[in-house]
Amino acid sequence: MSKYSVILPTYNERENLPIITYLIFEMAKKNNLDFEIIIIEDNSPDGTLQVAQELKKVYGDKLIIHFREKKLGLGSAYMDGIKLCHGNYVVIMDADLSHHPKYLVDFIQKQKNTNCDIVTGSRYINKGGVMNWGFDRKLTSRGANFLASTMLGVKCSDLTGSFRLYKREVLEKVIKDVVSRGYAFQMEIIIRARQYGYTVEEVPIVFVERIFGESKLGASEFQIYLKGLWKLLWTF
Amino acid sequence: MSRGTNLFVAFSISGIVWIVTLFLSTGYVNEVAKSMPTYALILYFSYALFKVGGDLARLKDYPEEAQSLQKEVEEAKRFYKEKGLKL
Repeated sequence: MSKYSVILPTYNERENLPIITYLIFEMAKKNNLDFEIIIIEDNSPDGTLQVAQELKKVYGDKLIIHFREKKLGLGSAYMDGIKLCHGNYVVIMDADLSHHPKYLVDFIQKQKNTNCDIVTGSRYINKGGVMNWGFDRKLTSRGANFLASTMLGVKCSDLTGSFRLYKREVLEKVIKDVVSRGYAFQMEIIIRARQYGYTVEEVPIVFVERIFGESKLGASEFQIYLKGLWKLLWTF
Repeated sequence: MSRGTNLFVAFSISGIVWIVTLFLSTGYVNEVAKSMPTYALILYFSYALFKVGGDLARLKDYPEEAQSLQKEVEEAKRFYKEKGLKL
């Protein structure tokens, strides 16, 4: 039977963490799926670790907490998370409720139907979408995806998306070589995966802007994105 | 070769062809050749506007998703309250 490990990097997510954990395990129970969650907690000042420890009283061994002394970034969070996974499939998603766990059923179905190596959630295909995004955020996101697809020549409707299901060995292989930061990190994973000959399928998702907490998205993210894109242009 | 190198080579070859055409052509062909870079830029930006504009028009909002998520948040809070968790 397939086992699924969800890696959840957290920083200042004390309000969202209980909800996302509940939604993941409820989805798993309703669909008779074997899931575990690995929380990578980067010493949040808002008490996220204490909340995670409380949640462990409810979910037991299905919830693994990995504490890190400081904010070390997504790439290292995924690498640390993979070492603690027991599953043969790994899910990467955000902890802020923008990625709804209900779509994981579609991801798993897509993977079983096609035997693909990666399933990625896309906001920009039929039945995909967003909620609580202003016009400027929509324009920035579509513009960024357009820039990436024309400059890099990659066919993927949502290159910067971070809601994905991987075969464990695929993620283990690809992530070792990734050097980018920020949004370019997610793009580089897909590009490298394609280079290695891995197959990628897409599933529509609706991305709901976070209800609780503060967004980590800022003006500097766009600069980092452009620098990352420029670097990828000369890497592949 | 990387994608960047490929693009650089393609632009360089196009640039050389354009310069040679500019110097060797006369009359109407020369007039057209002078406008080609501007025309190429206008074509690219028009394509970008069309593509991004079309994608924006197709990007749907789903207010029902936000409403359903709010309900699930309340459901989760009740679940934890029943379990006696201090969150």
